[in-house]
Amino acid sequence: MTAELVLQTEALTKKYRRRLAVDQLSLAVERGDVFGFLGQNGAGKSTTIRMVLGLVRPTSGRVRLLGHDMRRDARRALRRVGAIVEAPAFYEHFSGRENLRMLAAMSGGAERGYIDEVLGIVGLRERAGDPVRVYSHGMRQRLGIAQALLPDPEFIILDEPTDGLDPQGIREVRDLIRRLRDEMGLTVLLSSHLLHEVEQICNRVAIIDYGRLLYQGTLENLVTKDKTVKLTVDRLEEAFDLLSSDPALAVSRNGLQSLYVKMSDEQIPQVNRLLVERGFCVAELSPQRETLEQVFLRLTGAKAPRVSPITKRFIGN
Amino acid sequence: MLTQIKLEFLKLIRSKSFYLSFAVLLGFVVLMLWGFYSYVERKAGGQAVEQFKYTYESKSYFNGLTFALYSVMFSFSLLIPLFVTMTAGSSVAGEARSGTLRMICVRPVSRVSIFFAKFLIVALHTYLLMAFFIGLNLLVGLVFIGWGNLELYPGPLNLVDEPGKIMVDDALWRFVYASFSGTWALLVIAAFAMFFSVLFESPVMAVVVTLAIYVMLYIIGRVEFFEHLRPYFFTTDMDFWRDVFKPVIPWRSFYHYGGVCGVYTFGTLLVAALVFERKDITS
Repeated sequence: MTAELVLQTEALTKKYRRRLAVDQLSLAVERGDVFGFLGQNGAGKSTTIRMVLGLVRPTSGRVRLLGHDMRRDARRALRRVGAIVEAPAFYEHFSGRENLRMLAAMSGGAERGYIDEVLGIVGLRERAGDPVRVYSHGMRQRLGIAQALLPDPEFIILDEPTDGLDPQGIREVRDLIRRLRDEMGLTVLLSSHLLHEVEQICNRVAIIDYGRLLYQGTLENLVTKDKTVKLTVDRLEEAFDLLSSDPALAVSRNGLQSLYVKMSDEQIPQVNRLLVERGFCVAELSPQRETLEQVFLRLTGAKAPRVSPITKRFIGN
Repeated sequence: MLTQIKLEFLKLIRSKSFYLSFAVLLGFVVLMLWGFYSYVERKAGGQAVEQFKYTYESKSYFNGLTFALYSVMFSFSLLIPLFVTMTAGSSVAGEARSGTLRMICVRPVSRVSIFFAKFLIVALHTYLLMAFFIGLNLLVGLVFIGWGNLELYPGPLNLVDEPGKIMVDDALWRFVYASFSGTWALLVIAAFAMFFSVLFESPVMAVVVTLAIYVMLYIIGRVEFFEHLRPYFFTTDMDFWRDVFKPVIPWRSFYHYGGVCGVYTFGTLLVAALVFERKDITS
């Protein structure tokens, strides 16, 4: 049975003069997903989200949101969609509740009780009467989530909802997203830099870089598709040379103790046999599970942050 | 659309700049009053004071209506356009800058209705400014000087070619007409400011560009040198609002130039609405 698609983009492209911000991007978010949308800064995540929500016109391609074509039927599509696009902004001299009342009116209206309910969900009921200008960053983010819940949405798009939050705030937002999925049955598209967060709450992810899709699918598949095997042998240099000569294997070294070899499940016993036949003493051959961060860095070709010599002196080697 | 208008109205009456605009106009009237009194004292010292007071108190030449007319005429060209431009120029760009524009544009409402709701509120603000300013001047004129017939002479106002008179009751109605004709004329500037507000992401830029164009055309339009260009400036057409203070209102040209201003206003608004509808909101 094919899953119902809440969001589908087909060859979505956005070009700003000469710069290609999003390139032929085809995404599919299924009902019930908590879908992680990952990419480095400037990868095209926010532009994609803005195109999905009708804020930015695609150069080419198509967006279908809740079954409606955004080019022809944007208003009907947006009726059951809640969104935060980057940092949520509000009318500073209005209270949190007044802001929600105004935004609710634009979404077709909401009962006073529902606004209070939403304020309760995000834990802002006590401070709802205060003007937004006195809200902390975390409170604004939570109010942002509250406004996204106003249209009683089926689908909610959260663009960097934990941006700038402290660990406590990040945890609160993470718990809130889980509640949205588990208790309210919402489909969530979550764009975030915080891979650890995404790994904990998302079931499916898409990774983009330079506006192009690098991966889309389940998180499970992504982190177990190619296994990295930790290999501890004597004569490490020779083993490295031997395995590196096989183009089917990607070998890297970690100091003088171990090698890390990327290979499929079928290749593991073959490599073991080869090493033993060549007289190596294999002390360890253990598959390593890559973290989402490792996969992300590998796919996007980004390097882990380098430690400068000056920093090294402070933190030690 | 009605919901948008209500929300825009709420935003207007809760903004500090709304009250600031009235406060500044109040300050301007106080300044005008002080200016008139100090002028009288300086120019009409000694015996001359008595003479001036006679004409002053007889209300045959200078009275509360004359005061209101001068005050309104002088402030119309620069002071009120400043506030209209500030409100209109920040209507879209201000929200783009603060980020609230993207919050409202992801709602299931058309951008065109958001745009026109904003314009209607700018128009309301413009009318309130005009009505408040005219009402305040008339009130100050009544309290400090007293009303009388509106005597008109060729002079600095450049209103009539030969002396004329409007009876007090009729003159009061002319001020009411002026609140509407002045608003209609100012909407041309409001429309330009809204256009630039859509075009630029910065409210300051929108206000500055609108005022620069307006002031430039206003000044050039008054320089003899550019007389042949004058009919092509919208600032020239905007002057139609003053016709309500002529002893006999030239209705034909009043409607003609009022119509031209309407074309400027709604033409500019239409283009601005189309640009806004297609604009990428990237702020």
